[in-house]
Amino acid sequence: MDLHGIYKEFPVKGGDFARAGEAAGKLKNILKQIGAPYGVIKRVAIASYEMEMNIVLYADEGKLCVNIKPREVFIVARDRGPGIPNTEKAMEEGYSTASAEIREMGFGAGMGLPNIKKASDWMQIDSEVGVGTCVQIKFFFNGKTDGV
Amino acid sequence: MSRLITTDEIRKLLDASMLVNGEVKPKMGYEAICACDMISELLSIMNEKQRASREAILLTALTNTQVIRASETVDIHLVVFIRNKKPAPETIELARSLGITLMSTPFSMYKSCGILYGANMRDVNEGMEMH
Repeated sequence: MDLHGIYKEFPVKGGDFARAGEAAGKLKNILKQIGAPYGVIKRVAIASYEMEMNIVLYADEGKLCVNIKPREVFIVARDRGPGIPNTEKAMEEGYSTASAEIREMGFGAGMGLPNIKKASDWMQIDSEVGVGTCVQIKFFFNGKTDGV
Repeated sequence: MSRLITTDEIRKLLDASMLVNGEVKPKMGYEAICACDMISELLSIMNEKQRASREAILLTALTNTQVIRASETVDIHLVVFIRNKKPAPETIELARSLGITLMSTPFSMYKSCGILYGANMRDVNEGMEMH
């Protein structure tokens, strides 16, 4: 891997439950192949899965853009969808706008965005109602839990 | 003290039927249990530092494919469905492709957890100080 790292894009379709989670799984495998620390792999796997599911559950379409550098992983999840009216509220554990149908599938516990924040070393969320949402996160090697 | 327990011991204790005998097996055995029916809760529980190196199994009533995806995400390789729940063929196929073992027990969540607790398996929420 050179200094510019590895760049990958994973398109994600809203409502496509059959393939949901595939992008996160592929990203996990890439990190395993390049020998990233176990803690980073685990944290990226959890956060990227949550980001992918957010697009599948709530948006029309979106993509995960991933930049893997020698000492960090940068992920941008951008979607076209309803957006989040109150991003601060959405970051609270237990707050959810999920439908009964989504909850029946085991989602909508109001833990998604808090989980992403907990797993990552840096997070930024920007959203516009009726347009879409962009979540950016970074993981630094030797960040949280990487010694595990 | 918790102790390590094999796939076959779990199957016998829970009187479970084996749906998929996955290829990925723990080096020593399973140590901890995660019992939940919410995907994000599973991810949140398994995100904690102290649990990262512990071999855990999942007990759940959810049978959709996302249970398998989420299990793979947090390195859980044995999923037990409670109350005789049987997953759809696509769930079984996905588990097989990822090497994850699937079982179905006739017991309820409460009874299943009680039996495994009695066999000295512990909750993933319990700290490492017990070792």
